[in-house]
Amino acid sequence: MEVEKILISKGVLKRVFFRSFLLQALWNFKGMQNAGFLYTIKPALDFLYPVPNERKNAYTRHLDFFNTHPYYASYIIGAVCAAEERYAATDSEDDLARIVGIKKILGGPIAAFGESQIWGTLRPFAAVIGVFFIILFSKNIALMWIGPAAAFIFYSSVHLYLRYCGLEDGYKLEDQVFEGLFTGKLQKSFVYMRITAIVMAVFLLVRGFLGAGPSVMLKTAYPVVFIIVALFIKKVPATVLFYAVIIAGGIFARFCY
Amino acid sequence: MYSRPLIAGPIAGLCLGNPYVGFIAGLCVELIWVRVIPIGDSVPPDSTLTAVLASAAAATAARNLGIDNISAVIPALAVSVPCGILYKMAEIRLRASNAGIVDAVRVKIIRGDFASVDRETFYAVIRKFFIGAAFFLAAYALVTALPEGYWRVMDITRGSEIVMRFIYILCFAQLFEMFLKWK
Repeated sequence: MEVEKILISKGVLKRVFFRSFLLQALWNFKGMQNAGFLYTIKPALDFLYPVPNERKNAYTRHLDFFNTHPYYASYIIGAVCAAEERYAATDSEDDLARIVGIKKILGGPIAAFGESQIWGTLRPFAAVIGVFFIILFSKNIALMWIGPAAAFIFYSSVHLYLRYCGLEDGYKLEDQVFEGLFTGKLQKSFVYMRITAIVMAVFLLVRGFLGAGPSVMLKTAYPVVFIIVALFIKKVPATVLFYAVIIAGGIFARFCY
Repeated sequence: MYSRPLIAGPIAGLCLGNPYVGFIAGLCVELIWVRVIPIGDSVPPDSTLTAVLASAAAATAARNLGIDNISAVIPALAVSVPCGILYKMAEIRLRASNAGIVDAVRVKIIRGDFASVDRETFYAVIRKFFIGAAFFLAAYALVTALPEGYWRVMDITRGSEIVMRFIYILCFAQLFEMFLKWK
């Protein structure tokens, strides 16, 4: 028998969307994003459970350990909203287990996926776009603003799209939303991003080499420094390498003149 | 995204009337730490604070001491990077203290105080803002109080352009390492 569900209204979902930006505000080492998750989903819970006792149970249920990628978390939030909606109508044990299951099982894989795609590809790619324009227009300060603006617009559009559509799709499709997420178009576009970023980095490097000036010493130093840095980059922390490069550059410059 | 060094640096530079140093400082900080990403419970060094501090300190030094932009950015970056790492330690403390707050929220919810989670989230945002602002102002005061000899360190080598070029090489190498699998 189909039970009549109380549907979460669009306004409530909109409030959940705006609250999802503060998902990591109370990030802690014990429960990670647990309080943030409760804060995000609170309007939906308030809407579904008007009785204080039920509401208390729902709140404590969402204070359990939870951690995932903050952007892809929207998919989980949407799916949990739909699962809570069903549980509020049926009150069955299976639906309760489903809510806990979505959070427990999907948190890890989504985090791994999001970290390699967003932190590992999208954010550096946005940085490359910005750096590319800054160096290309380095003669004109007004035009240099194109770099940060392009990086901001590109990154924010993907970020907001993921957050908004993640919530909508997660709510509509529930746990089936994850079936198409790990393959398909999205995955392909990240491969293209990698290739484009490498091409841009090569362009910047070659441009730097050509702009090194007429000095033969500088011209030879350029590839030599690059090879030395590339050899050490895996073993030495980024900060140490930065200081090493400054000191080496200072000595070289003193020696050069 | 506006909190990335690439964007925050130029804005900080613009506020002090010298966006050019902001562009260079933001670019360097962004690319030097491009491979440092927050996975799981790891807290990366605060690149935003580093970029804003470097831009502000470089703009101040360039104006007050009359040194050229690139010679001002390199010492500013060298002194801002440790501040970013120090702030990371402060942030780890802050995040550890959040665990106690969440436990208190749980007790309050069981007692029927449902608004406590909203309140604590709001306080967490405010607290983080003020701790960050206080840290930045203290670091800025310390950095600008450095003796003039420190800011003129690039005069000894007389080749700040070359050092900057070397830093750019490091930045591009970091990018290759990020996108290309050497294996």
